[in-house]
Amino acid sequence: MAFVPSKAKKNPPKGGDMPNLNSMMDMMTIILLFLLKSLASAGAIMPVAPGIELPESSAQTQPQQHLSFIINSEGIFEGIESKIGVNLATAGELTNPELPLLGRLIVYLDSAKAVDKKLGRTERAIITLQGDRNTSYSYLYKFISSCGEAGFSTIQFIVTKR
Amino acid sequence: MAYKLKSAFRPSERKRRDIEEVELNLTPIMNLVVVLIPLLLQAMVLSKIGRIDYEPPPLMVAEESDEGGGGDGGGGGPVLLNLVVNVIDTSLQVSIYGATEGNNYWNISLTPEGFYDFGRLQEVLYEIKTKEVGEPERTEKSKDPKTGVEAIKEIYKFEDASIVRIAAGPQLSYQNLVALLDATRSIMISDTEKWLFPQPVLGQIQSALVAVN
Repeated sequence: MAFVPSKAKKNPPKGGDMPNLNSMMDMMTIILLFLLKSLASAGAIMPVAPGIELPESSAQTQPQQHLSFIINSEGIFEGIESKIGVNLATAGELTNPELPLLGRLIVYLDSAKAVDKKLGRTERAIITLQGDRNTSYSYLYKFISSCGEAGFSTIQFIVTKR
Repeated sequence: MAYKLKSAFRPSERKRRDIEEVELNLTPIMNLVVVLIPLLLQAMVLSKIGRIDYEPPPLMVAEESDEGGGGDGGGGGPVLLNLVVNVIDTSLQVSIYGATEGNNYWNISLTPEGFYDFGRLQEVLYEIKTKEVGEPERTEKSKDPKTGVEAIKEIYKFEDASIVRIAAGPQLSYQNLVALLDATRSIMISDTEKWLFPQPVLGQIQSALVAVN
């Protein structure tokens, strides 16, 4: 022979056998699908607005995302992804007995309805409210009345499950 | 004799393609799964918030009904229970048929610790539900106009059998309001949840509306 046969060719180094990941992948996929399904049926996760201590309740219904507002001792604010947004009513307006309804809030709600109409989608009629547990009833009642005036008859009070 | 040497077939010029076995790269899939699963598990644990729906029913006008008996009126209008819960500083006042005293009126004092006695309120409401409202007369299938889902609706002798009118003063806190809504919605009897009056209508209390016993 011309050349000595290569010993490397005869004895190729054995690579480490990969562990069989099939069963682990099956398990992970099933767990992932289950969790996604639970998340989908539970509805979108709604974070709590900062500085708000929600009241406790025995209600077990999951919250849903709708037109969101935040109410505390300083007034009413629009809720943008549970962050405090523009002020729609000050504490002074809420406590003023000569002001039965909140004008700026009604204008905001009317404009939200107008946007829905313009975009050709179903007009929203549900409002989500996150409020501090120490908020007084007079603030809430004024808020509810103003929403009713603007055509939003359904209000979802967000609470902490007991 | 001369023979013409026949050449063998010319090797094909088509490139030979060996079928290569490529192993699936599981790394990005595993990354996705390892990141998503703890994230979703964490989100499930944090999801401890719920909601209470407030959707006041259409206004109904009560016809005059006598205090002593049931809601049977002489006219053609709807028969109403007219359940009212007034929240004042010193007590919870419960009234049916517009009563301000007697058997159809309850004044629930605060607990010794100074809190509203929602437990006693639930007992009173359960008594009203079982004795005055009673069982449904019939059931009807109806379609929810918003969701289109068919549901079975129970029809009681009172048109406002599931309605409770709540009137409170400005001093009531949001937490107490939520506790009141919980108390009027349902009661646990022998580990079973029984509906009481799940349709609240919120209002503001007027001065000297109901006599205090």
